[in-house]
Amino acid sequence: MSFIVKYRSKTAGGREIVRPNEVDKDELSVGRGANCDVLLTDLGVAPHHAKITRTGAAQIAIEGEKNFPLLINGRSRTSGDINATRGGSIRIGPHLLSIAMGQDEEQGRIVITVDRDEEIDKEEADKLFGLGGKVPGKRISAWGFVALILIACLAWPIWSYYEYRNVDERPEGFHADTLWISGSMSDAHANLAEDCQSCHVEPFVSVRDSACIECHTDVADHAELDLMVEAEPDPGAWRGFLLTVGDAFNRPRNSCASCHIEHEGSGAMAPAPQQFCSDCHIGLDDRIETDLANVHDFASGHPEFRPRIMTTPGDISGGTARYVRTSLSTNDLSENTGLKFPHDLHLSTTNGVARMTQRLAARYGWGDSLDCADCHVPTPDGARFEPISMEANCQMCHSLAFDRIGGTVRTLRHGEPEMVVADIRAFYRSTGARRPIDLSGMSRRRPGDNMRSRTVGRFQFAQSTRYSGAERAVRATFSEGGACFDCHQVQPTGSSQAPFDIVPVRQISRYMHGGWFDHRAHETEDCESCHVASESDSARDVLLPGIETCRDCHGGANAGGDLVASSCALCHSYHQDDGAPYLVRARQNRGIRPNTVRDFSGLWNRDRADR
Amino acid sequence: MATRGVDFDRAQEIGRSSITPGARHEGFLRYRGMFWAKIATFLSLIVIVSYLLIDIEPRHNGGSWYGYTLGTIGVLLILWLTMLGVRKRAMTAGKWSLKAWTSAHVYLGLSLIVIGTMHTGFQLGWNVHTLAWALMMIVILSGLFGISSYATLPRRLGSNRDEATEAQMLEAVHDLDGQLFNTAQPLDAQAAAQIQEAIDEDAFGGGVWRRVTGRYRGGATAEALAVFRRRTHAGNDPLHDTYNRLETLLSRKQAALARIRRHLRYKAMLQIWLYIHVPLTFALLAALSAHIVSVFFYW
Repeated sequence: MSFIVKYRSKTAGGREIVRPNEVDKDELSVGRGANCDVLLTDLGVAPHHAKITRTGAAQIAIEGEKNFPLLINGRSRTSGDINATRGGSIRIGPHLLSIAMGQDEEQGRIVITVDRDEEIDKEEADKLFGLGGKVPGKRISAWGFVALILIACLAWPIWSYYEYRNVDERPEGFHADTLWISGSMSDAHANLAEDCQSCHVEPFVSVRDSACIECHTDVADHAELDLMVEAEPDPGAWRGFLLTVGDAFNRPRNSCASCHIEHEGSGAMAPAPQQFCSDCHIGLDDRIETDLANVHDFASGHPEFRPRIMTTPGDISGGTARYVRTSLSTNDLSENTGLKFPHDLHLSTTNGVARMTQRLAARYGWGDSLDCADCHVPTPDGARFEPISMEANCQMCHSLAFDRIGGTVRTLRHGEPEMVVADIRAFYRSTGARRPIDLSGMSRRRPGDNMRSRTVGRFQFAQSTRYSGAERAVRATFSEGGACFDCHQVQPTGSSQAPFDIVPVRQISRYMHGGWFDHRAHETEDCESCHVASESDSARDVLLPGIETCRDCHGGANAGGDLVASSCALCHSYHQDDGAPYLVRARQNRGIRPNTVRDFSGLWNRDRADR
Repeated sequence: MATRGVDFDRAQEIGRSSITPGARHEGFLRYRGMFWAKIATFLSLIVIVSYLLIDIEPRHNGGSWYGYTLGTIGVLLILWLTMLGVRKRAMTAGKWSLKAWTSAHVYLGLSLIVIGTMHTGFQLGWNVHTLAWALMMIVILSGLFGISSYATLPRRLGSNRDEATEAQMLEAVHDLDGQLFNTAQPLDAQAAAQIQEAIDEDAFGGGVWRRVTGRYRGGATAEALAVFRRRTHAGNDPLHDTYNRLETLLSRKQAALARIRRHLRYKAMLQIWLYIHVPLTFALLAALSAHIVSVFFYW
């Protein structure tokens, strides 16, 4: 008297699995609850849904709990009877309970086979539960993206390149190839950001120098080409390999773009790396014949400065100035600019110069003693100083006055010695000796003529020899203690017309011709911290600071801490401008003289040889 | 049902003592003692250290020799990673098994974050180059999301499913709908319409967002449930029994819907990353081609 409950299910492959379960009871509980005898795992079924009672050998009664409806033999009811011999079915939710009498070893027992409807198609369910219907398919979106990107980021930019290929400047608006920009342009080239074709002239050909030279017409090369080729060191295995790869990709060596790397962000273009300089300038003398000293890092491998010093400013007979480029460490270094000027005397705070300064302070805006800036006026760009001039800087103290007519003071003409001689002679020619008081009509006479005739004699002698005094005065002016001699080197000419001449004065405004020094960048420093002028008693002293003074503040390219990191480009320019000696020489050889001098306009002394 | 009531911790303890290491399942994440994770970490470290040590003037960029090297490694890696799509269709075992391949795919793919980013030199902008980088990052991050989903979600999916198949879940709802329909026969038109709406509601409404977040507010079943709960509580109605039964059925349908929706959510999260990972990989390949062509076009 028992039931056999058989759970029948199907595997994914369609195979049938039957799990029989013998229950030795006369009353079976049916439902979702774990303790039910007939377990129907479905939320549509109540925990205790129905009760099956065996009422006879082959007879059972079914009663739904709480009047839950059951489908007994296809009819909806709340309770019913089934004869197992005849067979019957009960449907509860998706479960079909088939009632039958057991066969063979199950003889005498009632078999309840539980089937679960799988009404819903598995594939259908898979589709419903998948994301397929909710998002675009992977394949379609993949191809969509590919098409979109290839058109927008490849085809369109290529089209814009060919559309504006030979155009100087593109019209305003968006140009698709700007999508390719690999970084902001530097400030100097920012206006070219829309005009890719201005630099990228040919497709698949790297930027050539010809594109740069189109605008940068007057950029000087670093040195003569053959020398540069010779000076280039063996690149070594690694650089050699990189160069070979570059060659394979048709990248030119030593082009503008090798050093000037664009698309590295807005702002000023980054200075060319020091590495490029020291590659050649280490051991340069091994490879080429040169006066240039080997150099690498400022802190450790830079030679002492070698300014260009004037050894003679020339002479009165037309001899030209002579210069020598020599190291500041040379013993007894002296220059000769043609001027005599003791800096210590003028900068003293206690001597007559200081007293005179105080007396004229209100008029010229001076302090208690002279200061560097009272004479040395920066050029408008602040890099250097205007030359000193007699008129602007000396004359207020060093007067050239020699005569007064009415209230007007006559001065000797500065810079024209022959005029000075002529003026002095004219003065003596046109003026008489001073008439003695006793020769005037209004004088009180002493008795007798003796005294009067002696006076007349002397006066006549003085009158007749008056002009010859001119030569004495000229000589005095040009000799020690005279107005000219104090500051200038005087040379006798041997000519009676202009017996003396002045050796030309040449002021040097740039000593360092291989590099650039900017005074404005050093405004925070005192003049004295580099130029010890207050201890110099002669204009022959070279008051330039040595490299050690610079190294107080400037370190090498990788300096840290308080030191200013100083790579080559801080002072040196690769493309030396028209101030560069080699270029000047080259142009003069070709008979061309530069007509403009950068950073040097408005200067009084324009002689090229002085630069 | 076999796992119901089983203490998981105890079960694992048993497993640890009785299963030999060789027999224990080794997923692609732990393959060969995380061999590929080590390789990828090593590779990333080399790239980071060399990035810091190698001095590129004026600053790191994709156009230096170092940048080109990383770029070449990166593009070869991307092409190889893409090949998993082809490789996975042929399952093999051994050293070059699919599992090994997948393990390498995951870890080398992660190291691409370092390689690709160092290749950019952190110079990003609105251009095709950054587009390629961004797509690469999205693809990698979506993959990362996919891995973490695979690692955590199946357990939750299983416990929510409770051995019911998807078809069974659907049938449960279907069956409840049938019972609701039968039970609602005595109702007046308005109430019947309410039930009909509840019957019409299925678990599959809404878009991807709903699927992934699993946020469903209201719904016809919930509304109907509220209505009939009120009516049941009011009592004294001749149809009280019907209301009572409807309330029960509706709350069961609500529970069945909630389970399906949870199931949908877990499943969506297991699937959604591939809908990003795969198409964007192709987008990346296109952007990469544009990137490379553009570099040489404007060389």
